[in-house]
Amino acid sequence: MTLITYVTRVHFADGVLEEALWSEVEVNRKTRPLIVTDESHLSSELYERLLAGLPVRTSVETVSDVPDIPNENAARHIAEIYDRTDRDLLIAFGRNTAIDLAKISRISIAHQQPLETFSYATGGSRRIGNNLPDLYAVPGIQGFGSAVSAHAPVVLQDGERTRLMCKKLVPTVTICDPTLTLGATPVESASAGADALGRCVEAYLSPGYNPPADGIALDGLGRVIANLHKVLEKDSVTARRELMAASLNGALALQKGLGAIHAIGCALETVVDRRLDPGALSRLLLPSVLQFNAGAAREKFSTLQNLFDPNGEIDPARSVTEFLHNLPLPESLNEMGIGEEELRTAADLAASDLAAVRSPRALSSSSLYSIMKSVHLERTRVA
Amino acid sequence: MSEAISVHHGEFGRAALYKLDKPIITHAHREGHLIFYLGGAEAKVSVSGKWVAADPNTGVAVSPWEQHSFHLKEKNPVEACMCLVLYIKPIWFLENSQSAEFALNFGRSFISMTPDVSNWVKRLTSLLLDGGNDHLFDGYLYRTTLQCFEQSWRHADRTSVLSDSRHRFTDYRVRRSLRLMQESYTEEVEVEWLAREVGLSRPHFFKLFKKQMGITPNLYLNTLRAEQAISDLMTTDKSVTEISYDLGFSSQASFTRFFSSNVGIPPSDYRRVAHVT
Repeated sequence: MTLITYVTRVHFADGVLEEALWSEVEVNRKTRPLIVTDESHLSSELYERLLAGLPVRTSVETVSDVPDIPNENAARHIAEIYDRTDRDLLIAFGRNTAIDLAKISRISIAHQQPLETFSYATGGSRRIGNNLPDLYAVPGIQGFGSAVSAHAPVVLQDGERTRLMCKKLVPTVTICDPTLTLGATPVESASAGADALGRCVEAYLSPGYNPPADGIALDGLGRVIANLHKVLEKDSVTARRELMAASLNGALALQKGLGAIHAIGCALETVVDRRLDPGALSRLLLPSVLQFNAGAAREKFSTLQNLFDPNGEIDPARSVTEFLHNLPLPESLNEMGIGEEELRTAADLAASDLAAVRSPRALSSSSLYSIMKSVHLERTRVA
Repeated sequence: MSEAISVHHGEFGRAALYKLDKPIITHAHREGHLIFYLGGAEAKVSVSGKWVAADPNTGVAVSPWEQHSFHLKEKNPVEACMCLVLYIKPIWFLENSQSAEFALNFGRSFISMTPDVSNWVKRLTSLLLDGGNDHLFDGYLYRTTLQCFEQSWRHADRTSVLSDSRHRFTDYRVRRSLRLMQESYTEEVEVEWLAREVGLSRPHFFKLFKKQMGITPNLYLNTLRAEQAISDLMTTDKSVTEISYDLGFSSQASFTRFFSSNVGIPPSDYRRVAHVT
């Protein structure tokens, strides 16, 4: 079916954006959406398509002031516009940042309290009410990390970074249209593929008992392996569709839990105070994370080994390294502008992140530091 | 004169019993379409330029946005064609399509009137004629459409459907023109102006739009006006004259002509017989 109702209501089909958006807005009798997107998408063809997909006589307001990492002030700003202009729906489209910002804005719209009140780390998730405004998410090629997930990062007013996590944060409707990714640059495509690969591998290796999520992760993995290089060679809608399906799988499998790469990514972003490309991080860190966990999940490693190499001769860490070798992404954390001194602080932060708890082998500050250090100046070479 | 016997609006779309003695001009709509012959003069429908019979053996399926026109088989028949016409909302297709490639299409335009399809058509027709069991309407509409949808895909030429659906919504100039039309469909919109606004010559714009949308810019504008007219007739207390002026028509007569030739019956008749289940 083109409508997938696992986790949330997901429309998935070529060219489905306009009709799915029109139908959902019309059926749910919404007339006054507030669109959240970043500045670069505002002048994009995607925005034209989005507007063309809204029923006639729809009153639209748009916010494009989207910070690199969602913060409380931006969420309050959106809540203020939402109330002042009497909106009845949020539509977030484009990148993870815009979708994450829309998610946390739902809480600011529904609640007066500071966002710290709802932080996952302090048990605040249960304080999130049932009166959040509806959110429709339309992810572009860089939007899948957020499009079906139940969490979002936020920088609080005091500058501290935390995570909001609650199934009520999952967008009400997600519209996945592979044609939106046609024409994406090789860097964007490579990043999306590496990100999907990392999510699928980490979700699969995560020790929780969740057979459906494991199946979704393995299916996604197969699709990335079969299609990432095809997409980079030729911009075909078939390969794009498969890669988007892989991204969706990776995002859905996250129901099982986040992993080391997510914990490191959040920590590094906090330390350098800017958004880092999750696909680039995944490409650099995944081989080392696999090496680190090799002994802790032997059976699953064997499955991964067969998936990457049907002869079952090459270990997954090496297969992943080779698979990601030629991608047009940074060669090291250093190239991403991360200094060596920042690794230590990030390692401490990541070790205290609940996402790291889901690692097959227990992660400590020093093991996280070693993983980052191994790709600080150049990518890991796996023998 | 063509007349409507009954029109029901429901969750997934609407169904109408029409007696048609005049053609309905080429048009298109956002909804998918199923047309079944019930009695009287036999008819034929041109769907994207190909003829499909509407007779005791055959029903007609039209995908959303596919252009089509209705004609009687004989030029001056003694009686009108009585038919059941379904308009299926896009959400039905989105919830029932089994493909990520052709989400909004029937597999083919020809529906064989199998015992199953005939049975559901009879049930829906009885419901529309008798009234009183409105709670059954959505279920009947759903099941009838599902029977036809499944049948259309069992016999479909998938390559041809794929090549048609690939043309849609790819050029930013077409998208911009869609938005412009949505913003100004109640005014006099010249194709010349639209072409200029999106930076194309009139012939180039016309060709590109037709290739990608399957219909001409004028038909698209007509669709927007017809949709709004039906919505206003069903959901507001506005008089037909008020609706005419709100939609930019110079008189009620010209609006009635437009509505009759696009929907099949005059707007006042539509409002009189239609109700929401």
